Amino acid sequence: MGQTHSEHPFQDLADKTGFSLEQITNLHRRFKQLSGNEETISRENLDSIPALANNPIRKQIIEAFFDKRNQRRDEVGVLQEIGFEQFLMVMSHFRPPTLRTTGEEKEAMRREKLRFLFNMHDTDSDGTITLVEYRKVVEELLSKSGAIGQEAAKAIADAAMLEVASTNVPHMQPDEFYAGITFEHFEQILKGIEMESRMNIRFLDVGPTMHCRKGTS
Amino acid sequence: MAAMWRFALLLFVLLMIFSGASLAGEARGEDSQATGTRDDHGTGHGTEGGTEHDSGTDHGGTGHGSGTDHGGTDHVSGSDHGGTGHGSGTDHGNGTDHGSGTGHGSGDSHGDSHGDSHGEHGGPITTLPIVSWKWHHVTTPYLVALWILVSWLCKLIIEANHHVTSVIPESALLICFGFILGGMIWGADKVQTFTLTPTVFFFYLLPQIILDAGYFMPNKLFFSNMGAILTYAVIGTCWNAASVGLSLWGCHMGGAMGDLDIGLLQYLLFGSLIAAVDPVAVIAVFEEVHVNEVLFIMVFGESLLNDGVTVVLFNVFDAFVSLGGSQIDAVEIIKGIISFFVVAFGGSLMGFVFGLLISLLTRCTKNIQIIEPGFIFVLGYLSYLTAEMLSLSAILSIVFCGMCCQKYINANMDEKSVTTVRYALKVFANGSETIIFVFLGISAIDKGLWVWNTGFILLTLLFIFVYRIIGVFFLTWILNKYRLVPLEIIDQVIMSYGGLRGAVAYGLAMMLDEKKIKEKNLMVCTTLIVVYFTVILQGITMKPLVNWLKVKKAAVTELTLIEKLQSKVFDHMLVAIEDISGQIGHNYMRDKWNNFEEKWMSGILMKPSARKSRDYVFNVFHQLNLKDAMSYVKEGERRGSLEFVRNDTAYIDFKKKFGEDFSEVIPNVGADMSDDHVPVSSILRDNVPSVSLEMHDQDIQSMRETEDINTHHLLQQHLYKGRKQHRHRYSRTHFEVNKDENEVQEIFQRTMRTRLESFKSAKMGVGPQKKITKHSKKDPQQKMPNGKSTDRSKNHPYGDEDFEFSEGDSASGGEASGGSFPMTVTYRAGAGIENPAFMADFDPTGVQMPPWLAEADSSTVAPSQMAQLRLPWTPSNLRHLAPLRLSTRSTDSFLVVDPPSTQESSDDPPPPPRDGTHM
Repeated sequence: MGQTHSEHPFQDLADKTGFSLEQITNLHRRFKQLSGNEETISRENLDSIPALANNPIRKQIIEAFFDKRNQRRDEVGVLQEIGFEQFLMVMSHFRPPTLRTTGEEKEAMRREKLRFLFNMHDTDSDGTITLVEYRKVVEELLSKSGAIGQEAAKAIADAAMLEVASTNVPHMQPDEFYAGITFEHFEQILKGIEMESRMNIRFLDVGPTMHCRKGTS
Repeated sequence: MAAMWRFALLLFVLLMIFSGASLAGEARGEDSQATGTRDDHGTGHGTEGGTEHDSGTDHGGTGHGSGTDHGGTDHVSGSDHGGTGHGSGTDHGNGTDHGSGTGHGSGDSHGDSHGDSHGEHGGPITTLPIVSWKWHHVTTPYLVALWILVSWLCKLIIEANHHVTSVIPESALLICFGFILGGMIWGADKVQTFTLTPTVFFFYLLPQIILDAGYFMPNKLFFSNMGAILTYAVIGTCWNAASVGLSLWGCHMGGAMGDLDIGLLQYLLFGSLIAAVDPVAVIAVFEEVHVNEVLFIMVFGESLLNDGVTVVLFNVFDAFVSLGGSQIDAVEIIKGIISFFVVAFGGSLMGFVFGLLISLLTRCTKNIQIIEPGFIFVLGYLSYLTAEMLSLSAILSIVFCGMCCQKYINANMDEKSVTTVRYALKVFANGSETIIFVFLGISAIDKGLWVWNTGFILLTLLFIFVYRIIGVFFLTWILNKYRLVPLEIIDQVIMSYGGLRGAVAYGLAMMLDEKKIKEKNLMVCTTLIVVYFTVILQGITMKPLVNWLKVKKAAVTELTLIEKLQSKVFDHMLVAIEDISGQIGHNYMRDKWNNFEEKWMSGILMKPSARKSRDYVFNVFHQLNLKDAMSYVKEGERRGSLEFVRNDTAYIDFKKKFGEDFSEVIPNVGADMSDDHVPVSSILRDNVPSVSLEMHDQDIQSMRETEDINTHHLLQQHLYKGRKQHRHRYSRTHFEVNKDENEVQEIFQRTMRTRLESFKSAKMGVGPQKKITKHSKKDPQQKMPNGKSTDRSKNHPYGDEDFEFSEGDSASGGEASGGSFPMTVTYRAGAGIENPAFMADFDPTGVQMPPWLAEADSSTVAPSQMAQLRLPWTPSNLRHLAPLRLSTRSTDSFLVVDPPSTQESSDDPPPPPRDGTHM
């Protein structure tokens, strides 16, 4: 792997995802490490990352990697295995903005990030987060915090859902109902969160991470 | 009309000031004109403190006031020293116009023995004075209090004029008021009698402001930007100090400011005191601007920490100045640097330790809830003083103290205590902030202070401004190389422009030693000008600038549950992605820290019971529910029909019983009583009445009245005699009334009986059938959420709103009010009765019913009908309440669980949320 391989094959990936070549190289190393030097990665590979064990929403996140919607190709469905490109695509949602990013670009990034988050909740890809779907996420989210039981988690999910309903459809008629959170509503309610400045990960440019260090030296 | 009021108020204040000033003037007038500086007063006073009790202590209370009264008291004691109490009597002869001569004599003659001054007059008294004027007896505290009042009134006037405060920040206006007040004093006295002395400022005004800032610090935000904040605070401040000092020195050498007796070290000392951005001023301005949170935390965090830094720098340079230029060699400089770090980190550590101490202490203050909040203030203050004593950075100490303890004390203490802490902190902080600004203004009007040196002053202003900009841009340029989300140019501009100087700089300048620094007055005066310039001019222009540059502002949003949930999802997601991509970023570190904190710190510092309900999301949920409940009550009150809510609250536990009855568990009614106090059963109330939906308003009214009367009757007839005393007893230690077990038990028992009786009759009626039909109706719906059926519109849980709401409504009403009213808590004592005696007594069949009770039977059910009737109105009107309604557990169980289990759910052990509410 490594240097010889890195320039050409990754150039188009770099264009597509906006990562720098160094970042791609780093991520590629990681990918190989996770997949056990295979070309593709499966759910089990990700599931077995030890650091993830404590993460309450592990399942959803892993699932997000295998979701076609996150590949920016307007496809719907679930993949069984993903290659490096897909892996990179998912990762690219977490790219931080730079000083050069313009306002529109930022807006686009924000939407992408929101979309990713939305997809994570919308498990059946029908464009709305229904109460059931939302409850599931909340339950898992709160499952690690000990004292909160399922009942409470449900109650919280319901309350949150109603909050969405009441902010988006302020005057609901008695015979109306709220089917679920659509993306527009989702966007609306998360207005207050500075998504573009928070949902970011530092992808190392040069300095190899601990894992990578083994590879290079 | 309003304008007139304001005017009147202003007049009033002015009048008061005048009288205050003239009082002071009189005291002062005779009061040796020879008095040197005010500082002398302060110190002289301090030393005499031993004898002069009250003035000594109060001197601290607020200082400026003490400026004058110092004059007064000092004088008194002076004369006391000189001769006898008599002598002073004469020089206050002038004071007669504001009081009686006799009073004077008694008051001032014995400044030292304030306790019994009355008894022992200067000379033998011929007759017993019935009333006497003792102005000097109370001078110091009186003036202190008066000044506080005046400052706060200024704020009141300012805040009454919104159109002014929207343009000019409050801090600037306060300073201007200070000018006016100072002018009046000066006009009366010809000398400035009140100034802000460093002692008062650093010991009595500053700590609470900083504690407040620390306590309310958004910790997560702060720590995630810690690197940048520290860079600005430490390196930026040093840079400012050094560059300003050196440049001024350079200009001095170049002859730009004429003949001044200031050396390089003095310039550096001056640079260090003027370098720091002031948190008080910054908060005051930025609070009104609402910039985005990252920018805010940058400016705010920096200003908070660099105060610590600047004090340290100041002390180091002060020591250097004392040492003299020739003494300073490499070793001393290295020592200085070491001391810098020791002082800064030592201070932080000290604060950390005290923070842990507070947390530990609040673990075991359950029995002294009333003074529980006091510990935070006392220990916080102690952390400040201790750090000061060890010559560590007191400001850093108290900041970290507040930051460390916030989480744990909020969890450990009673909700009421937490509220008390929050409010009290705000009162103190805001109060002293106001005083500081007013006195910054007052201090200016002093002829003795003003030493004008155009070159020095203008150059200082220029350098401060320029170097701040250079520093910020340079440091940001470096930081942006490492920051995940770079700071934008606009943000940098605001940061540089937000370099407001304030009272800390002034306090430090006042602390300069005139013997060592000849041009102290020039420095003080320059500092003041810098403060006015930055606070007033930059403060006023800040808002337009922010708007003009289109700085990203913080969205002023309400607290929403979903946002909090999403934040949590975020955090976990980021950690997960970091894990997957194999990087160790700060999300990873934070996760590790959280785990550690969760495991160890919380375990040690938090009450076990508090830990349970501590979850953040849950807290938000709880708070929102409380809010909804309150608006619900408000709405009810607005409609003039709070009664049902109140009933729900009072009888919450009994209704529980009532519910269990329904599932035919009358005999064990008391048995599982203790396991919860969830008003689940309040749902059951609904079963009976939905018939009466068309009932007229009038009827309800009358019904409520009847019930009221009955309740009163019941209480009157059957309660313990002693209850009145319990009700009205004044207690210093408890707020709760009526905690007497017997009494509560009695009430409980009685009410239970009536409830049971009325229930019996209700059961014979329509109720049960009604209920069943309801449930069967609902049956198809329950499958819906799971099954995702096609015709959702009809059956979705949220669809049939009216119906659902009426169902969930009273349940949630009950539940919510259960959470929000202290009353429930009080009654809990009764609810938890497993008293065998009571059980024996409690035999529904054997209940003897007083005739009036039997009559009341039908109307006892009334509240439920009423409640039922009222509820359908609300949903459309109360937006906020909506989440509450569906969010409650009871409703939820209706939605998902099958009908039979709904009833079982009333027997369920309480869900965790209840614990939270009662915590």
